[in-house]
Amino acid sequence: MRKANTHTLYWIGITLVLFPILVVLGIYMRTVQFGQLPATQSWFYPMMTLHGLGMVGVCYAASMACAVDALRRYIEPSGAISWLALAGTVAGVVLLLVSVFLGKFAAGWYFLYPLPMRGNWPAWSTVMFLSAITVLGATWLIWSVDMLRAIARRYSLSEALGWHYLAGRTEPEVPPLVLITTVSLIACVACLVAGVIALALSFADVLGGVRSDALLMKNLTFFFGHVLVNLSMYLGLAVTYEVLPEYAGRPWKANKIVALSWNTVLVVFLAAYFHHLYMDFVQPVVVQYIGQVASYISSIPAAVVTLFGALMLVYRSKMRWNLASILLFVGLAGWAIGGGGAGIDSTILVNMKFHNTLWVPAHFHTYMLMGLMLLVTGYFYHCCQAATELPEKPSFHNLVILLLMVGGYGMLFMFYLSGAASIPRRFAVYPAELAHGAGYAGLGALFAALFLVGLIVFFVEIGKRWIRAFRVAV
Amino acid sequence: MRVIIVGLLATLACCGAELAQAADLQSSLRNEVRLVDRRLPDMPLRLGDGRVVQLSSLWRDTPLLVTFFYQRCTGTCIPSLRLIRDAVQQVGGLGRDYRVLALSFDDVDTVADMRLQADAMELASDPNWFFAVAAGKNVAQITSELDFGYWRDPSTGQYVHESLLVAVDQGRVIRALLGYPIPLSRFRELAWELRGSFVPYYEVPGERLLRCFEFNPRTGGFRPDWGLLLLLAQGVTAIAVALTVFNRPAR
Amino acid sequence: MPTILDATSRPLRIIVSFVVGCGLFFGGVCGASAQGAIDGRILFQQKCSTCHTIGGGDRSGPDLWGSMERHSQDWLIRWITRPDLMIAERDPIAIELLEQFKGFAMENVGLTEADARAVIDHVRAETATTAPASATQAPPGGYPTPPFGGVQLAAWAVFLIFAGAIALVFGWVWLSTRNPQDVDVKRAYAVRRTFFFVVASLLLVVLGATLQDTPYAEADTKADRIVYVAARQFDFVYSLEPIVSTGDLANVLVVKRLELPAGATVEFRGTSLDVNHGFGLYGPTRQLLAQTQAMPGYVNRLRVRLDEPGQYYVFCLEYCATGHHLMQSRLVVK
Repeated sequence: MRKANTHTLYWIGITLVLFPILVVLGIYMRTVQFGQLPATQSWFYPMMTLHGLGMVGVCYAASMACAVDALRRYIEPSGAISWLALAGTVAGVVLLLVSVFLGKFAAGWYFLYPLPMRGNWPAWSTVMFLSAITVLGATWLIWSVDMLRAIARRYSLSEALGWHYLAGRTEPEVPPLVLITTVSLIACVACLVAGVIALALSFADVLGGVRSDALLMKNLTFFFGHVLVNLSMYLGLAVTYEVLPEYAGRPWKANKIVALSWNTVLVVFLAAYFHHLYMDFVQPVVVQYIGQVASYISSIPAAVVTLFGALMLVYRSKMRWNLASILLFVGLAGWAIGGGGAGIDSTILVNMKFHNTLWVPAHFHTYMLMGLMLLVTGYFYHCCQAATELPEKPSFHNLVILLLMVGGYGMLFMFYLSGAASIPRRFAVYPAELAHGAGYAGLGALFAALFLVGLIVFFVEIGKRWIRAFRVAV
Repeated sequence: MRVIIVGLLATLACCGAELAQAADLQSSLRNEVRLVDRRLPDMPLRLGDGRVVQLSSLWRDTPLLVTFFYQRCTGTCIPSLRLIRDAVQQVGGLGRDYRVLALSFDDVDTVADMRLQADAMELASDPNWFFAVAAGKNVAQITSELDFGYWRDPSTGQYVHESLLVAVDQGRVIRALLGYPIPLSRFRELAWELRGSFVPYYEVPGERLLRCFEFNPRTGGFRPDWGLLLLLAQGVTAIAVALTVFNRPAR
Repeated sequence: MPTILDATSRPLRIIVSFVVGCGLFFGGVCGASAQGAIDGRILFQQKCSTCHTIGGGDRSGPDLWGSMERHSQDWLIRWITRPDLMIAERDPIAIELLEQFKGFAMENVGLTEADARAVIDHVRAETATTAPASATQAPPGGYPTPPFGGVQLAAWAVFLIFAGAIALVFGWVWLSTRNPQDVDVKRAYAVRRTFFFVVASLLLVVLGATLQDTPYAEADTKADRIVYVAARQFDFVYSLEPIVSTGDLANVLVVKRLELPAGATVEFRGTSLDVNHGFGLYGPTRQLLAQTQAMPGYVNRLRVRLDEPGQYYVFCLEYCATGHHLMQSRLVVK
C-alpha cells in the first residue's frame, strides 16, 4: 500500500467532478446540433466556450497534477505553491462560471481577438472571462516555474534535458519523466508568456479602447493554445513513461535516442503552431511551409521513439492488465490515431478543405479525450488503487473499457465523417444545405452518451478508492 | 437664431456634399465595372515621333494604360494627363510593369501636335509614353467600345467629354478609372496590381499599438514591424527563466 | 457629358452640394423621391443588411421581401425607429418575431422617422424588382447528402487506413502479452531503425508531393476576375471595389447577386469589418472547395478556378459570435 499525496487527491476530486459535467456539455452541444432542445439554442455558444476552456483547463491541470505526483519520487515541490495552484485554479473556474452563466460570454475558449469585445454579451462578462484566464494563467505560470525550481534543486539544466546522453554519457541516470516534464515546463513558460501578452493587449482594448493588430493577436493566441494543449499531452506521456513499466515488469529508461527525440520535440513543436494559421494567406509563405515541415517532423519522435518504445515495452511482457494499465495502453493508441488525424490536417493542401470543419474537433478529441484523458484517469486510478488495494473485478473493468471505446470512437467517427463531409465546426444549427451534419450530430450525441455511461461507471469505481484514500490521507 | 440657421445650412451642405459624392462615385463605378473584360480592337497608330505601330504591339510585353485627350483642350485633358504623369512617377514601375498611351480623339490633331504635347509634358524622350493619333473610324471604334462619349460644342469648338483611364492586358480591359481627377489611391492600387504585387494590409482606425508589418502606402513596400518581436518574446523569456532557475549548483 | 457634379471649381461644388442637400432634406420630409431611394439603399446597407436581406432568405432577422405590404406604415416606422420600446411594451407582432428568431431581438440602430421611410421605400422598390427568396430556398424534402470526393475522400481513406493500422498493431501487442517471453532488444532496435527510415522517407515523399500545391497566390500571376469580399457579423458583402470600413459600403457598388463565368480563375479578396471570419466556398455538391480567413486590417487573396457551373455556397468558417451559423451567402457560376 502506498499512501496517496493529499494534493493529488484534491486534483483527482476536482477532475472527477468537472470532467463528467464538461462531457455533458459536449453531449448537449451535439444534441442542439441534432435539432433538439431548440429553446436552449442561445446557450449553445456560451456552453461551447465553457466546454472548450473547461476541458483544456482540466486536461492541463490534471496532467500537471499527475506529473507533479509522479515527480515526488525524485524531487520536492513547494507545499505552499501546490496549495496556491489548487486555490488559483478553483478561483479561475469560479470567475469563468460567472462570466459564462451570468454574462453569457461566448467568444470561444481561445477568445480570438477582437471577438471578446465585439459580441452580444456585456462588457463585464468579457472582463470577468479575461480575469479568469489571467488568474489561471498566473497560477499555472507560478506552478510551472516552481516545478522547474524543484527539478533544478536536483538536476542541472543539461542533465534535466538529457544533454549528457546526447554527449554519449549514461550517468547520472535521469528518468524520462524528469526529461519530458522539463521540456514541457519550459514550453509552458513560453506559452503562458504568450497568453499574458495576448491578455494584456485584450485588456488594453476592453478597458482602454486601444485596438491591436488582429494578425499579431492571432499568432499569440494560437501559440498559446497550441503549446498549452500539446504540453498537456506531453505531461500525460511523461507519467506513462513512469507508470507503464511498473505493469509491464520491464524498465523504460532514458537513453540517447529518448533524449534526442524530446529535445527535438521542444524545438519543433513550438514552430508547428503555424499550422493553425495556414488559412491566413497574409502570413509569409515561408512560415506556412515551416508549419507543415515542423508538424511532419514532430511526428517522427512521437512515432519512432515514444510509441515504438511503449509497444516494445508491452510486447510479450508479463503485463499486469488492470484498469490503470489498460487505460494507459489504449490512451497511447488514442494519441497515435489523433496524431494521424492531426498530421493529415497539418498538410496545407488538405487544411484548405478541413480547416475549421469538424475534422478539427475530431482529431483533437481523439488525442485529448481518447488519449490524454485516458492516460490521466489511468494514472489517477493507479494512485487510488495503490493507496487502497481494493479487490479488482477484471470482467467488470473490461465492460467499462468496452463502453468507453465504443462510445468514444463512435462519437469520434461521427466527427471525422462530418469533417470529411465539409460540415463546419462551431455551428449551433446547420443550415439546410448542410443538414446532413445534424444526423451525424445526433449519432455522435448517442455514442457520447454511451461514453458518459462508461465514464460514470468508471468514476464510481475510482471514486470508492478515492474516498478511502482521502480518509487515510487527510 | 442666425447661428442656428447657418449651422443647419452648413450641416445640410456637408451631408449634401457627401451624398452627392457618393452618388457620383456610385455612378462612375457602375460604368467602370461595365468596362472590365471588354476587348479593344487592334489598329495602326501614328506616334508623336513619326513611327506607325499597331496598338497590339504596345500591350504585347507589358500591360498598357490607355487614356484619351485632345491637344487643344482647355478643360480637363491636359491636367488629367499631368496627374497621370505625376502619379506614374510617384508609384513607379513605368516600363517594367506597364506603359502609357495617350490617344487623341480629335480628328484635327496631327503627329506634330502629339510631339508638341509630349514636349510640353517633358515626356518626349520617355520610351514608355506614347502620344498618338489614329484614323477617324478607328478612334470611333475604340471609343465606342469603351463607352467613351465626347461631343463637340460648335459655339466654343471645344469637346464636352469624360476622363477615362483603362488598364489593358493583352487587349482586354482589366481595370478602368473614370472621372476627373483620377483618385490617386485607386490609381496606386491599379499600378500595384499591374505589377503583380498586392498590398494585403490597410489601416484600421484607432489601431495604434504594435503591428506585424509596416507598409508604405505610397510605394507599396512592406517590412516587418516591432510587433513581430512580441512573437519572439515568449521564447526568449522561457529560455531566460530556465537559465535563471537552473543557475545554481546541482544537487 | 460631364455632369454638373464634376465641376472643378470649389465654390460651384459647395453651391451644388447645398442645393442637393436642401433637395435631399425636403425630399426626405415630403416622402419618396429619387434621392430618397439612394438614401434608403445606403441606410439599408449600413444599418439593416447585417441581419436582413431583401429576397435573399432569413438571416438573424427575417427576409424583408414583401414584408412592407404585410404591416401598416405606422407600425413599420415605429418598429424601425424604436424596436426596443415596442419589445418592452410587448407589442404582439414584436413578441412573435422575437420568438421566431430566438435570441435575436431587433436592435435600435438609431434611425429617424425620415430614415425609416426611406428604408421602407427602398425595400418596397427592391421587392418590386427582385425575385423572392423561395427561388433560392431548399428543395422540398431537403438537400440530398452530398457525395465525398477529391481531397476529402483521399484524406478520409488515408485516415481510416492509418487508424486501422494503429488499432491492429495495438491489438496485436495486447494479445502478445498472453505468451510472455523475453524480447531481443537488439533486434527490436534494428526494427526501430528500419521503422524510422520508412516513416522519414514516407513523410519526405508526402512533403515533396503536397508542398508544391499550396493555395497561396503566386507573384506575377493574375486572376481572370477579382471580387472583393467584406465579411462582417453576420453576412458577406461582395463588391468590385475594396471595402475596408462600414463607411465604404455607401461608396462602392455592392454586388447583390454574384455571377461568375465558368472556367475563370477568380480571386476573392477577403477582409473583415469587425471580427475574424472565415470565407468558406462550397461547390454545387456542397463540399468545401477552398477557404481563407477574413481578418480586420488584412486582405487575404483566395484564387480558385470555378470550373463546374451551378450554385455555390459560402459559409463563415471562423466562429464570430451568436449569429455565426447564420452567416452565409451564395454565388452562381454560369
